[in-house]
Amino acid sequence: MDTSFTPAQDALRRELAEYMSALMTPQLRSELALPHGTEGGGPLWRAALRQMGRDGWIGLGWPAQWGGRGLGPIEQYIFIEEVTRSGFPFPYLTPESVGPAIAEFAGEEVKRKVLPGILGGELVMAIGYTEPQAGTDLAALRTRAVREGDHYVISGQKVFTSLAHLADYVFLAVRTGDPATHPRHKGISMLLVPTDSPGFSRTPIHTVADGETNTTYYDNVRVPASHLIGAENGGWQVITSQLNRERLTLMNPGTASLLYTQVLEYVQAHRDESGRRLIELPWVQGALGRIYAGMRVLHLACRKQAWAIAQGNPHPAEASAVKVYGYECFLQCYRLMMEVLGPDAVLRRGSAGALLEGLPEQIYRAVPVYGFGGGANEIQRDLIAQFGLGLQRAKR
Amino acid sequence: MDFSLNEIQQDIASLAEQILRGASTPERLKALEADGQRLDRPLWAELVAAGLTAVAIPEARGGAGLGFFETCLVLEQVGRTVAAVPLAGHGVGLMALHHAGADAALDRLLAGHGWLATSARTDAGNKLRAESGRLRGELGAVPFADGSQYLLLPARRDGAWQLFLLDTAQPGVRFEAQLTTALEPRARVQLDGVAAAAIGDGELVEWLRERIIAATCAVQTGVLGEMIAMSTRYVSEREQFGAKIGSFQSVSHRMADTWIDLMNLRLLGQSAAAMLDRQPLATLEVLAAQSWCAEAGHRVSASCQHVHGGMGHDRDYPLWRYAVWSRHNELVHGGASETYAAIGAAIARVPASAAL
Repeated sequence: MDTSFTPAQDALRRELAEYMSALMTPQLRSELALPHGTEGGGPLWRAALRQMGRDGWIGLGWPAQWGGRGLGPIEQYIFIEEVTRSGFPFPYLTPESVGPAIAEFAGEEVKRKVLPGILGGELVMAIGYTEPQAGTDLAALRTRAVREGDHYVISGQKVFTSLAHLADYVFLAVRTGDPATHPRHKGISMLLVPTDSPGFSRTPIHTVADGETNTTYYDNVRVPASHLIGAENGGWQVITSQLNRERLTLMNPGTASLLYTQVLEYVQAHRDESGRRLIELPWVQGALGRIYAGMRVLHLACRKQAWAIAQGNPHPAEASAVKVYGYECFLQCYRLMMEVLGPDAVLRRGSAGALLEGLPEQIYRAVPVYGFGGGANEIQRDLIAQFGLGLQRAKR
Repeated sequence: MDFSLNEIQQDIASLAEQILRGASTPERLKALEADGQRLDRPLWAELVAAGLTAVAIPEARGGAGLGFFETCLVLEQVGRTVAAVPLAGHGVGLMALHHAGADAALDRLLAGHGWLATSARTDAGNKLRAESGRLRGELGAVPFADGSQYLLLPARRDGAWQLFLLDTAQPGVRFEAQLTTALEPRARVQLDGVAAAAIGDGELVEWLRERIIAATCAVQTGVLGEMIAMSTRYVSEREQFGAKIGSFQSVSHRMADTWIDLMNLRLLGQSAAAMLDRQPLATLEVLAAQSWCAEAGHRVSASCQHVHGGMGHDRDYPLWRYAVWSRHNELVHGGASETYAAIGAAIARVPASAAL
């Protein structure tokens, strides 16, 4: 039993931290501070993403065949932790969950077309699963694709297609099967849809946390049949594989660790009305204790997941447990951080006196998305009951 | 990074499980409780004979030559069977004797079936004073003190804590019986000018305290693991409204949350134990583990009793023992609030040590 990183992994962490610190120039930080800039999308953000790709970071854990550096899942995990810890809005689902699903299930032509671009920081992928009537019950989706010659013709609508406004492709779940013979999850396929395809359009959805997501429309969009990922009507396997990877990446504690560090610095540097440093106040120490204990175990749980993936033996219930716990931990820790910062913690970025550039305020607004993103936590608890405890499969 | 147990670790855990499950049955525990003395001497002798009471002592001295981590694996099995043995204090106390070079007492303990009763309390419950090699005063709630061969406990000399070892077979040693919520036999130890040897200073007291806390986390991991297993069986069999109650999401999700709590407690407890094999102190990791010992103990215990309904309160059904042990382990080193404050105080002393 050894829960620490190797010296080489610790060196990688330091190297990445220094690299990201240099990459996050004041100009880039200003661009990210613009309205709707928090998720990236501006020219400096694009340039930084490409720079990371050129410098070989995005494909750290990928095989050399696709331009990767061939290190393992633990190093890839370290990469995401350090990138998110720097505050850079990295579109991590592209190389961490969609990319691997393409590598596993797509044909050679598509792999050659997109994988080098993903690892090079050139391409961003959006995920098109959710529909107005198909959220947690994803197998109820209705967006339809019909094979016509060597193309699929897609018609339908998706909602909450995050990053579609920045993306080059949508990783799209469609219904290809006849409901009579291939009902629900047996009739779903995955298609890679270029966002410059005729018939593709989107309208923005502005989120509570200053982010932007999209409704996306598919009006007889034609994509080559080679863009099928996995078998026709075999999309469910691709989706579950992608979601399993997404769950772990979503719960990476990098961003929370960044805020923890900033809050810890704040309470050392600031004093209350009687002149005592905030960190000396017993109630602040109690809150810091809760934050530390909560986040420390999330770090351990995520590291164990990365280790288990490296061993080729991830435990399905542990992956779901990290998802459920990670959300609960973020929700509680961000709340405690806001409490520790005091009443001015509610001031938004750009306000006079906003604390830590309004970042804790913005993230505390954003955090509920982790309770359902990547699969609602109710479903995760069903999976834990089934695969962790051995209870009978839940009725739906 | 390696989160697996090696072959030796798996073997020692399964040996401990085999002996403890065979001996510490609900019937046996019920008989001990009826006697009013929750101390299983035959089982203790069996553990001594199997080499499970001196796991972390080198083979050359008569131990198993393993470490604290392996000691904790045995203690997890003690928790799974809520066995009535003084293993936690004895196992950790022996390590302190070895660490401090108190070889004569160590050899005597390893040669027989006696045990060492250990405390690291330095709160207001400890009023022991040392003057010219003799201890006076009292110390509350020492586990398995009455009947022990030696006591290992902190006392103040000239205002500073030191760790003292004393033979209980001498005049001036008195035990006032105490029972914890889990019916563990404890004693208020009263010393009236008793000869004792100082084997270390306040640093050794801290060394001991962190291992006692980590040992309790291991016991709690076993207690909660067994509670969850019992509850899973129960909700898989119990029917209401014509269905197994475990098929209701309100029940299965509550059970899923117990599984997450146990996963987290085991992760931090094992991480802390492994660190303590490599370094003298692992303060933040131990305290974080203790906070999970308290939080998980409280929540898992309440959930497991709840899904059992009245059965969780019936003393003819074994769950109640686990319910009281989870509370004992939750609170016996200071509960969650005090632990969080202690973590925060440690962070405030050296913020750089608390990087995440």
